[in-house]
Amino acid sequence: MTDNLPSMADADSCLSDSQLEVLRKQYIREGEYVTEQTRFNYAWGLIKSKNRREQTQGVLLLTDIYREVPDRRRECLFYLALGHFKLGNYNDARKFNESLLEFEPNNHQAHALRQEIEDQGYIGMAIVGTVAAVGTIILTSLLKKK
Amino acid sequence: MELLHTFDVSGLASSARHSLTTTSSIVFSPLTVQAVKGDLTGIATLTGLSGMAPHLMASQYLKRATANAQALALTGAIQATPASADQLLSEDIPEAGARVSLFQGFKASYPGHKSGRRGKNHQRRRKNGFGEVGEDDPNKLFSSLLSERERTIKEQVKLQTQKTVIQSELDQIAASIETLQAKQTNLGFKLSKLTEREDDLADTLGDLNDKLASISEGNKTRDGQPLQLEYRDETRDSGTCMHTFYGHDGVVTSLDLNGPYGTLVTASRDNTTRVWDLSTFKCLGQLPGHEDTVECLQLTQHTLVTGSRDNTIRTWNLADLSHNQHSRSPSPTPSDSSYSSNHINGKFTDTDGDDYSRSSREVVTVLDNCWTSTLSGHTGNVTCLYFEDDKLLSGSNDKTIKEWDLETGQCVLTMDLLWAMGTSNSWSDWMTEAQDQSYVGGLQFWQYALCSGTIDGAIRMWDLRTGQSHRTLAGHTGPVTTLQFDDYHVVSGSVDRSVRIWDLRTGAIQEILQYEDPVRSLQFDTSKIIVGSGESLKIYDRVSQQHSYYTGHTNKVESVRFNDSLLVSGGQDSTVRLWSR
Repeated sequence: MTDNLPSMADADSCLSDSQLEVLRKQYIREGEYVTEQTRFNYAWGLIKSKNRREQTQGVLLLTDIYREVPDRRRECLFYLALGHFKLGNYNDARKFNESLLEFEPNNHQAHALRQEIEDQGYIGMAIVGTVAAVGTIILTSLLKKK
Repeated sequence: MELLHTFDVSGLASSARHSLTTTSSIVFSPLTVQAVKGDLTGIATLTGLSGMAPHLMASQYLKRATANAQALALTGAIQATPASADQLLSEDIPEAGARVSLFQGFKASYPGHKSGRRGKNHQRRRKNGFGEVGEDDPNKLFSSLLSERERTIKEQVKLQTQKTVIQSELDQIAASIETLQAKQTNLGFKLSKLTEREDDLADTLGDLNDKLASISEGNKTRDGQPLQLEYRDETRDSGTCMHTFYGHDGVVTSLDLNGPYGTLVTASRDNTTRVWDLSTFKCLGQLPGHEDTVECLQLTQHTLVTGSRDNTIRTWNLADLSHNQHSRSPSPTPSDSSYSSNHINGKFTDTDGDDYSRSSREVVTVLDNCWTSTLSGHTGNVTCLYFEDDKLLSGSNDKTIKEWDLETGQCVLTMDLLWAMGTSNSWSDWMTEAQDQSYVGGLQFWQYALCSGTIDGAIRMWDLRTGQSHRTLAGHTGPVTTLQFDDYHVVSGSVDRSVRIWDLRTGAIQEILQYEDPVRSLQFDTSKIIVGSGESLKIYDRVSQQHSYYTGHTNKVESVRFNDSLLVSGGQDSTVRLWSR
């Protein structure tokens, strides 16, 4: 199982431009009858990149694979979770990840991803909390002045 | 512009919880107005949050969205509408097959970017190693060889996974090709059935047109047209009914004769089987033994085989009949001989009525010495049979056709009709209505080739050596009730009121004769086809393609048989009539 899914570090490592270009060329070359492996390769390459635009493209491609190939759906859950996580859609990422954990409760990478998502969630909550606190302080001070 | 409207609606609909998490995610992720799939509500709050003129933001979004779409189009992704995570998750997620995972495939095709570089370094090192082999210590060479071995092993594994990936894709494609082909054959079959139905409808339409035309035109005589027809009022060729046999008390189910001046055997629903002498027109007696009506029988020179509703088949020897007759029966059989000899156009006279009542009181001899054997094995009515020499084939309502050896009296082969019918989709609505029809309407065989007509309207050819049906002629839209074949043609009649003539070698329909009533029985030779349907006998002259008919029976004709110049028919009016050709 550990071999079947990438680690979080791998998800952050970026492919070089030329490598991504190779994947893209292969994807286009196969045209209408593109194999699922090629699609995945390209989508995964896109998700790994630092560019947000490319990440979104990758997620869109993966969703296509999810929809069209029922056999691969379980794997795609993980990649979709990763992709959404990188994009910042923590909600969706969590949903996909939870769904994957339902099927495979012993999955390493899924647990690791869940941890990361929750951390982000906490950070987000904390920041919102401070923003709210600061906001109320400012408001009360304004009102007091008035 | 449409996109704008949807945003407003979704913005209004968003819940507080949603806005909290999405706000944080929007604030702390690189702030762009990118089309983030899966979180429309997030975008809505963003437009609200920013406080800027919403339509400005939305239009920017729109531009980016279309740009994105174009980019996607370039890369070939077919994404029309964004789908939410919930929608995706609601789809069925099947068990993952034991195959190479996508990631493994990825690694196999692009083992990285790092190992490539490593490879280059390795190359250089190897070169160096070889150049300096004499000076460096042997350990270095050993380790470099080891690492090279590892590399080749990894290459191997990589190739293996690549192969498995491609193999699984090929399997998927093969499976889908199979399903598509099955679909194709299915639809092709349906199409052919529909074209058949269409032809039949065209025929009936032609009939109706003719009827209307003839009614409006009055008494104009017209020739019967070859295909699709109706014998109609023209060609009133009433045959002469030479003789009528009275004696049965019920519908005459079947009959057979062995020569124009030989013996005639008839069976009826009054549970009797009678033997008549055709030279004296006398009833020679009754054959006892069957516990229920005899549905079918066949007579050769001296052997008679009968199949009955009591699920058995009996064989009889009629060779010594005339002797029995003389020694035993004292009973005069006045009804048969005296009257009815001179019916020119088959009309009844009053005297006939008297005869009929008298005949029912007559004493008929019981021919005890004729029975030779009983073949049991069927579990349903035996509805049709055919025998030649020592081989007998019988069809029954237990949905099987059995082959018997007449010498040993054993069943040697059983052919399951349900199985043969199940493989084709010929089950139709009429089958549920046809409860009183025989499962196997007619059969005939020659050496190893058997031809059967069944309740599903299909005519099947079987090979008796394998017991399998190798061909089906579809076309009838009702149960097949009678069937005969010769060297060139198969002729079948059915409840759907048609008689079809098929070419034996190609299986194509040569002609369809349309009648007004269900066809119950037929026999043909090279010059004519005699069809029993409705109250009159229909004669179709194959040479001149003319139809004619013989009237006489007062009720439906159930069975017809001819031999040389003599034609015999039995009907639901309990009479058996002889006609001259």
